[in-house]
Amino acid sequence: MKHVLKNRNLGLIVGIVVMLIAAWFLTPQFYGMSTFASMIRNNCVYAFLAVAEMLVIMSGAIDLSGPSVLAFTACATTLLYRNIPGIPMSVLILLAILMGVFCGVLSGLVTFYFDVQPMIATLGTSYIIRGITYFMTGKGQQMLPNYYTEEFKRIATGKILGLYNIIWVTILILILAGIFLNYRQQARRMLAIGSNKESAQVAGINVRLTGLKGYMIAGGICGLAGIMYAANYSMCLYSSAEGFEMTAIATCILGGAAITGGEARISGNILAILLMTIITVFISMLPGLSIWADAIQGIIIIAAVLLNIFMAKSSERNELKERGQRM
Amino acid sequence: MIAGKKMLTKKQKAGRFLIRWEMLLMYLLIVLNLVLLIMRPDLYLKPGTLASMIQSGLNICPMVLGMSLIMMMGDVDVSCTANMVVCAYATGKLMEGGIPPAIAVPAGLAACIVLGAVNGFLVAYMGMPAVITTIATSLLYRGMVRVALGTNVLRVFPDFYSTVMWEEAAGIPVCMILYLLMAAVFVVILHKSRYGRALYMIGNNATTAEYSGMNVRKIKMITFMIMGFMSGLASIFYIGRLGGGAQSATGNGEEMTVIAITALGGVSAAGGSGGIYGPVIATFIMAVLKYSLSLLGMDDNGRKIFIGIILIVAVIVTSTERGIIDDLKENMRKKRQARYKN
Repeated sequence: MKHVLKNRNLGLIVGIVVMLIAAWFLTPQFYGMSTFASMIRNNCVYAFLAVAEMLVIMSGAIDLSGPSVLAFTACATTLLYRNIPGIPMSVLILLAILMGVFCGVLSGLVTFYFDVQPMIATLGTSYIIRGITYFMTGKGQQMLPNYYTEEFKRIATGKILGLYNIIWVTILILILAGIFLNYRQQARRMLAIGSNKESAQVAGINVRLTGLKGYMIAGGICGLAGIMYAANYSMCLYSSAEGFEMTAIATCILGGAAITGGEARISGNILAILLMTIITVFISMLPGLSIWADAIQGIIIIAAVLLNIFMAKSSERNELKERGQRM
Repeated sequence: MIAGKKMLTKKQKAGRFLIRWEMLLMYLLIVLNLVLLIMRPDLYLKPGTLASMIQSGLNICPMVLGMSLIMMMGDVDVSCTANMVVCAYATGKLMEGGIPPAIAVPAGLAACIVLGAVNGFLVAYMGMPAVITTIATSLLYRGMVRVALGTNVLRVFPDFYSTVMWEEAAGIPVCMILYLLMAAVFVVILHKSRYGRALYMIGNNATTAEYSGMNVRKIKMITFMIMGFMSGLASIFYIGRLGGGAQSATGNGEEMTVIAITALGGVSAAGGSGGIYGPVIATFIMAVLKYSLSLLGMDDNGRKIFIGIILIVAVIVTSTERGIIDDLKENMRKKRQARYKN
């Protein structure tokens, strides 16, 4: 029992259960199979961004440029697809990932090699990337649904074993992120520079290169999210996903990643993504409440961060107490 | 005399002064103006162009002053424009109800101070990181206005709003006079008062400040409340420039412009260095830039690229300025030593 109560995912699981029970009584249509499938499908893109954000946050930085990278790759791949007829889908996906990595390199260079505060740096790069997207799309022209053929849409909306491709890709990304986080040396290094840069440097870790790699991986995931976004919604715009960086950060913190770096859990992140998805869908289903979405999100972020701080404090206290008892 | 610090000759002092960041900004401002003068002399020399350039660029100026104090402490406030909208909402709603401006405007400002205090409480007393706190509260504040206002637009605002932004007194735009007056007050606050010194110290090292007997939490709280008040004042400028119309999305995204201007003005985002003069000059630089870019047919979205580049370059230059000079000196010294050995 004590073990169960100590589990740091407990709060999230309770939150999910409470939301599901509330949905059972307030919005019965929530449990229709079609809503459920479309709900998961439409929120997959945001799962990508949340995972990418976590990989940056754990190395002590922050990435506000994720959604801009998403919009950039979404528009760029659409334009490439339209202007180069017969371009294979695999090449397109690869290009999307490469473009994302390039954007990540940009943010990483400014942050880690020029020692700019990560928030200011990625704010700047997000402006630049979104501005470029704006001009690239002919001053903000929308990419219309008829630009996309079935072949393109199938990247996200095709089905394997009854599940949409986009869901499979999301699961794959989450599993890969889990393996990376738990079994790779690179992830350990990123956590080390996140918890204390100086000690990491003294321990022989190349802080700059490690941080840059974190941004590159995150950029690649955002790039993949971009092409998935375009294929899933069959439209995109230079302002696609604007403002979602805040939700991505909130999801990470809800999932137990420390905003100061050095701590991240994939299980918490997955549960937090699920919780945020359920809350979003739930709010949008309640009549008259959808207007509250922003305010509620703000409150959730504040509550999550406060909870995180109190949890950290109490676990620190417990640790000290245990150490005292042992002595 | 402090040990290790050589007395500077007058010439050296003058040299130091001329390459200060504020002076570099001043040169940039002059160069931009000259470029505009040479490119479009007909437009530049026309009466009113300069005034309208300044007026269109000063719509967010009070927030720049508040943000300078916040960034001096190493924090940041992303919720300032949301605060501004709340102030506009409170004032506009009261005015719509027939309440005179003498009550409505202070009520709006008071609401903003309260919201600033909420930010300050969460950051200072709860220990939340300022970025996350203000991101969340900006969602919350703007969300509340959206709930209250829906898609409506508030149109009744006091007359002096438009006077501030559109009229001139003795050939100088009213907003510029007000801005310079406010800036003077802030210069006194930051450079001449104990409170201002404390801000520098907190920005450099909050723990040291705490141990040297400063009430860091209280000072942070006060600074966030000042920021709230300045956001409230900004609503007068911003709504006045828009011609008196406020809705829940008004000014969305301008907080980034404010941060960019402050960073360009030489206030380090890590805290502890900079001043008020720099951001004031940077405000005018941004005004000229905004005007020149819109002459080239760029709208708000196109300008984002330039704001982004300016932001990054300014921060890189201000944070490494001293580092680069020190590196050069070090290299010279090494070279000299190597020469002696040979």
